Amino acid sequence: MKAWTVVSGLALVVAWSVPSRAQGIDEFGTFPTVHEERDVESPQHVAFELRIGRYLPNVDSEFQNARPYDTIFGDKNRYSLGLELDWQLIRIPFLGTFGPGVGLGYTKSSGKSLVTSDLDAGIITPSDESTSLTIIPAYVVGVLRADYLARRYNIPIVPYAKLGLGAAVWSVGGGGGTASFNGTPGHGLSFGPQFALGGMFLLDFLDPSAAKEMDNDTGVNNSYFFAEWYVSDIGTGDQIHVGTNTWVLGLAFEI
Amino acid sequence: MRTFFNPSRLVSAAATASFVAAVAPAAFAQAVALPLTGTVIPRTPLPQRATLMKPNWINRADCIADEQLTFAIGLSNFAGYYLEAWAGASSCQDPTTRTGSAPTCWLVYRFPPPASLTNNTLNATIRARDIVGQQLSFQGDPSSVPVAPESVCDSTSNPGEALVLDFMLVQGTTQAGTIGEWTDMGFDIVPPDPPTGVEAGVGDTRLHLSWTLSTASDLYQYVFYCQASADSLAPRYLDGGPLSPLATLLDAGKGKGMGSGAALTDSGAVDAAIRDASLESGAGGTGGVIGAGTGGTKATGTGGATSTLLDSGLDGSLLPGQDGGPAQVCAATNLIPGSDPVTNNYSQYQRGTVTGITATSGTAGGLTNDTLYVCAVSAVDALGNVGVLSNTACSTPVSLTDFFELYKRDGGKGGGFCSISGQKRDPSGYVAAALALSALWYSRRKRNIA
Repeated sequence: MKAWTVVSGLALVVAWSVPSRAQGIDEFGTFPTVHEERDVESPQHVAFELRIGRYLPNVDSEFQNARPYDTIFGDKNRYSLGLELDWQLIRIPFLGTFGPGVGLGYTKSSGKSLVTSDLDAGIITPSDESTSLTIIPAYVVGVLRADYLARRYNIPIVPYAKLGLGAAVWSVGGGGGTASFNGTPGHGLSFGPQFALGGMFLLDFLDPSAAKEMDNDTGVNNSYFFAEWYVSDIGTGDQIHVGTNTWVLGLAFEI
Repeated sequence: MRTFFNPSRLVSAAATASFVAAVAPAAFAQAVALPLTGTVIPRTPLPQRATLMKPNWINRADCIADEQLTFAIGLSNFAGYYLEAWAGASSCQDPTTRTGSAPTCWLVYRFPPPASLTNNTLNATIRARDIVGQQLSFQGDPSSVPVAPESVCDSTSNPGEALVLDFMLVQGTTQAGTIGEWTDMGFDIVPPDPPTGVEAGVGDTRLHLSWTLSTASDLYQYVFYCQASADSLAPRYLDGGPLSPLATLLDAGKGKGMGSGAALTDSGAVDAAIRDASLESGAGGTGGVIGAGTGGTKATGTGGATSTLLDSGLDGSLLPGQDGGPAQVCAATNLIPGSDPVTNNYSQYQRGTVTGITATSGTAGGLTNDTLYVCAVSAVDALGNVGVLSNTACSTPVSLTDFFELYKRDGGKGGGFCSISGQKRDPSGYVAAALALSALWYSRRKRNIA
């Protein structure tokens, strides 16, 4: 009898505690708590990425022996900034989201023009005049984000893959503006395929209540830190090879 | 019934009378009307300055050119009066500022208007020098404006300040009517100091000049002057003849910093004229023979205006010949450090400008490759005063290869928006990937429905 009383008491406590977690009370009456709001998570349609990464264009891959990019700009790291917007068009059961994405970046390499007479003699003599290669890569990709485990089992890792077509507007600057050579302007458009593999760490995992508040306040469902490796084979054939094979880090927000 | 006494008429008549009494004095009073605020006052002989450079103010060039500023003054009831304009650091409306024992304003215009004026407007022409002159010692009811000489433009006692001009009608010593006060006026006759540490870097048909950041507060821009060194030297000193021994010495790697005359004296074989010049400049400690070192592309020039070269009064230095060639003499007949580019009419050597108080570099363009140039920089202040030349720097523009040229030289095929044809790619891979993803999605969807 005593045991049943204890069990009944515990049941009552549990029964009482569940609704008490689900709502709060103030002078205006009851209001939903964050736990209750989690059940009505805001709609999620897009992912937005802020990206920064190393960018060394594969210009020299066009040549067997020459290394014009390395000669002018050296081999030190260059970096790019970028944005990406993905439309999470469909949710694939037990897998994640899939949809198209577009991205845009910017990078610029600067160096010094070489003294032509010395170059003819095989001597590399930098001048005091700057020359630069500006690349604005853009791409359209299909993005698959496998967030099923994160959503279902609270494992805060979301692997993803991207596949699509990249293009880059590039321009070479010389001392007097855009460079040219024998009437060919030093700018152009290169394109080619690109793909990426990456992993996202779900920042909501670190502070779930703050994540829920952010969703309620701003509509940001999830925020991530991500690391990505991507290959951009931009520029083939008669195009300058301004693609790259590199890594990128960033923050992503699903809205 | 008609009445002869109408109170309302009486009131009306009284009001009219009081109005006439109030207005009549004003209608016959002397008055001076100035151009609208913001008007750019016409001037001659120099052209107007840019709006950003206080076009109504007076700079040193205006003063030297004896610039005349013409104010269109509207006058009323001026018969028998003189139109006077007084300048001062503050208002001249108080008579004691003009004719007191310690006047603070000075007369810059005094003329009786002609009997008839078109639109009652008088064009009062005021000399910039009279404004700058501040000839207070002539005060105490001067009968005419004392003519300020050109020397006032070199005054250092008062390099500049904001002023007001008060225009008034005066009969005898009595001012009458309203006074028009023009406040968009002032002068600055002291040009900014030149930049220091000017260096010249090699470009393609241009030289890249750099200098130390200035601490001046009113800088507007820097102007670059370059003169081909060959212009100022007899060919005999550039043909490799007399300078060959020196060229050899410098090209041997001893060129950099060789400013002492001793090294040249020791060479023994150097042309006597050159040796004399080197010793002279070395003793001055400012110029000397300065080599950039073999393979170098940047050279600093002479530090002062005192060194001479070749007994010709030139300021200069010696640079190593390129690739074992003869040494080049860096000297210019005109671009002497400390010289005034305005009074010396150096505009023909102007090769570029850069605007901005924080600028520390700029490009002198329009130069000829493989020609040694002597360049100097002058600072320009917010009023357009052009400072004297900086130290000179020498360098030779040469043909350069930028990245695109190197890329093309090496056989690169890219370039131009028309060359995007590229290599044809088989799209089947993308299609297959898309189909696979679609199939995956479809199968999952079908399973969920089931």
